This record gives sequence, structure tokens and C-alpha cells, in this order.
Amino acid sequence: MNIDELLRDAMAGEVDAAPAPSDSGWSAVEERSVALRRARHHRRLAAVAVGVAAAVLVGVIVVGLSNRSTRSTTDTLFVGEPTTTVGDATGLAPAANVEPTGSLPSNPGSGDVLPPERWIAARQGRSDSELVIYLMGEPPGACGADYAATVDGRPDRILITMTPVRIWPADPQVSCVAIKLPPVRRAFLVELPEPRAMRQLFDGLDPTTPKAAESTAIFQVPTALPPGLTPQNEWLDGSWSVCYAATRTLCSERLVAGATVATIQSPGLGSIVLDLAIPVGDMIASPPNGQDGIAWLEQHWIRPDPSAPPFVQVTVHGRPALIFERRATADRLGDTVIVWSEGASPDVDDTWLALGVSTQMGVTGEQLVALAESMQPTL
Amino acid sequence: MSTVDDRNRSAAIEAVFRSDYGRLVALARLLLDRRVEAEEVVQEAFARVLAKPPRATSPREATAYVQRAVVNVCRDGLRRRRVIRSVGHPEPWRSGSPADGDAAALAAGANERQAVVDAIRTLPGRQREVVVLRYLVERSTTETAEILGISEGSVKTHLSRGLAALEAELETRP
Repeated sequence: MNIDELLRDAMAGEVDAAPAPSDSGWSAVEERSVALRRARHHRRLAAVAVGVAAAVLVGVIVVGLSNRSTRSTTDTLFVGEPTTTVGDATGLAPAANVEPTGSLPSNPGSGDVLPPERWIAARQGRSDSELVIYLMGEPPGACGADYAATVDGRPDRILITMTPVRIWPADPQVSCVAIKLPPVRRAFLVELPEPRAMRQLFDGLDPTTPKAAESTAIFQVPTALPPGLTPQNEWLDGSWSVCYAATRTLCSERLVAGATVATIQSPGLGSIVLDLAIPVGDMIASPPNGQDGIAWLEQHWIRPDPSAPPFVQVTVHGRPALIFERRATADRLGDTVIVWSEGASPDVDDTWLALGVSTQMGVTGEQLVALAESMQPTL
Repeated sequence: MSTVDDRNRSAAIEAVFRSDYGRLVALARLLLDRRVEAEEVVQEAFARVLAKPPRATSPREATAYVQRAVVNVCRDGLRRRRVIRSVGHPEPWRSGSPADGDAAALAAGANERQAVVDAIRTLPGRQREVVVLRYLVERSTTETAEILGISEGSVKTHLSRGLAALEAELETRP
């Protein structure tokens, strides 16, 4: 026989020798099958349970990270760079010559009234890294107390927190006694419309026609202005502004200017911050080139440069101290540097800000000069 | 809750059990060497198929599906056996005498058949699978390729080499 025949014969013998099927055999098969199905079902349930647990875990992590990334900075007081390397719980230490007097409010109210004589910084931003700290300066070299403002831009609102601080000169030879703190600290919450609506609002503006009737100062600036404030409505570079010219006496004999508050109001959207109060330092008392303050302000108003990078970050002692918009410029008035910024860009994706920087914030003169030079004025 | 479709599939599998059980046990025995173990393997294969019945439309397809299951269970058993041997554990399979099948064959007076069966058992795994599927369950090259999950060319190659090896092995035997 050849191999084929041998194989077929052998296979036939194997089949003949094999057992016949039985009912008990089939019953055993069915029982095993049921057991296999149950085991498979249990495995599926276990897999689902593991999947659900994993999803919940991922959700918890995502929510946690989300909360972390949108964490409010209301509890962060960041005023310049410390002259010493002492940090607080927030990781950001105040300047050595600025002493926060208490914890910041944890539940800021909405719609509180800002004192109009204060310099207000406000901006639109999206992350903690864009936090702007504005320290209202006292006259250089003076002892005093004032507010430190933290501005926290969020996707839907601007949170401004004002905290009373003591300020004293960086010169250790100067001793300050009996610094009287401001009586209040306030937080302000400003609701913003979503960016698209804001853009439409900007697009609908007529930059050539002042609309005094529609303009209102931000933060419910009282219509009855305090004595010494003279409202002057101005249209400045595309944004409707309410300018104040003020003559007020603070803790020294210096005269301090007023500020501009650019706001815009739209029915249904409320007041929207476009710009901020800008301190103009000594200009009323001794305006450059003999000009009055408002004229000087108009002359120096900065036009936006859309091609400029969005930010300039000022690093002091190796750490980011202040972040400025690139298009801003700076001027030095005595020992005070004023950083100007134009916030009238209709591109709502651009952040804007303006800061007053004082030597009392721990920034050295050389750094101030470098800062001013880095601003690349577009005048 | 079983549907009519499920019951029809189960009935088809049971029909294969009734008609091909012996041949499938022989298949498993040739692949695994031991008949007691072979019955276990066949029942396990039927249980797996019954737990998830195929969408076979013909008895031949259903039979092929079960044959594939038997081959897979045999492979699992051989793999498991190799692992256990490699780590030195005792043989966990049923302790049926290796001579059980041989004794039955010898009792049938088929010395020649036994020699062929013994020669088959000397073949490497894939060659043995191909030879058994072709000559025991009489599957075509295409069907053998489908059952084993290999190409038809591989089936032909393994079959050719397997037959040559068998001839060589049988020539060495008295």
C-alpha cells in the first residue's frame, strides 16, 4: 500500500476505535457551555466595572486639573519681586517694602463700588499666568498705605481684588511710623460677555462719534463726581473714554493726577472694561512741556501695533515680575515709571493692560530704564 | 433568554456532536496522543462552540467550526503541557495510560495501522495537523487552510513534508 492508503486505513481504524457519542456526553457539554457563558458574563461585568472605575478616575483627575488650572488667584498677592527670597504659601512673595495687611477676601462681591480716585487695573485674560498686579503707588520716598490690586482675568469675568498694604521706602534709613491703613478692602467681579459677542459689540461702534449718553464709568463710578474731579469725555483711539482730571492732595504735598477709565456700555451686556484707570503721576503738577494733563495724555496715547508680540514679560531677579503688553510704552516721571497701554483693539483675543510701576515695588532704577526701553514706544 | 436562532444553532452543534463525535475524538487523539484526554478536549471544544454558537449555515460549516475548535483546544493543551514541562511541574492532565489507545489498536490486530499512527505522532505539530485533517476528516486544502488559519500554500507544503517524513519513518520500522 502506498502512503495514502496506509493513512486512510489508519484513520479509519482510529475512528472505529473512538467512543460513540452519548447523551451524558452531550449533557456534560451543555453544562460546560453554561459555565463558560457565566464565566464570560462575569468577565464582561468585571471589564465594565474596571472601565467605569477608570472613567471615574480619569474624570476626577480631569476635574481636579481643570479646577487647578482655573484656580482663582484671589488669594495671591504679587507685588513685584521681593528683595529677599522669602516666599509665602502662594509661592509669590510681596516686595520687601510692601506688606500685605491681611488675607484677601475669599468671596468677593459683585458690583461693589470702587473708589474712583483709586487707580484701577483690569484686564481680560484667560489664565493665571496673565495675572496682573497693580500696586497703587504712593509718592516716591513716602511712607504710606494703599491698595494692592490683583486682577484675575477669567474666561467670563474679571476679578479685581483690592488689598490694603503698607508701603515704605526701600531706603532702610527711612523709618515709617504710624502708617494708617485704608479702612476697607474690596473685591470686584465684573462679568464679561463671551468673546464673540464682545467682538460684535466692538465692530458695531462708530469711532468718530462720541456717545456721551452711552458712556458710563466702569464699576459704577458715581455720576455725582467727588469734589475736584472734572469729567471730560474723550474718544481715544477707538474706545470711548471717560477722563477724569483731578487734583487731590495725598499724604504729601504732591499733586496727583486723575485717570482715564474707558468703558463701553451696551444694552443687555452691561458695562465692559476696555481700558483702565491710568495714573499720570505728577503731570498735573508739572506737566511735561508745559502741557496740561489731558492734552499730554492725548498726545501720548499709544496706537496699537498689531504686528507686535503680545507680551513683554519683565523679569526681576530671575523671576517673572510683571507682564506687559508689547504695544505698551513707558515713561519715567521722576522715580515713577508709568507704563501705558492701549486696550482699544477690537481683537478681543488680545489682552490688554496698563500698569503703574513705582520704584517702591522693589524694581531697581536700571530695571526701570530697561523696562522703558523694552516697551518700544510707537509714538 | 435564548432565541429561536440560538436554539437552531445549538441544534446544529448537537447534530455535529451526534454524527462526528468519534471522528473528532480521533482527531484530538492523533494530535494529543491520549484518548482519555482527547475526549476531554472534544467536550471542551463543543462547550466553547455551544457557549458562542457560530453563524454557520450548513452542517459542513458547523462541522468545520467544531473541528477548528478541537484543533485550538489541542494546541492550548499542548502549549500548556510544554509550559508545565519546562517548569518541571508534574503532568496535570488525566493519567490515562499512554498505552490505552495502543492497546485498543493492538487488540484490533492492526499492527500496521498502529505503526502509521505512531509515525504520525512523530511529525511536527503543523505537519501532523495537516495530515490528520486531510486524511482523517477529509478536508480539502482550502478547508484545511481555513481551519488552521494558514494559507493554502502552507497546507500543501506541510502536507508534502509530512507525507515524506511519514514515508521515511515507516521505512525505518520493521
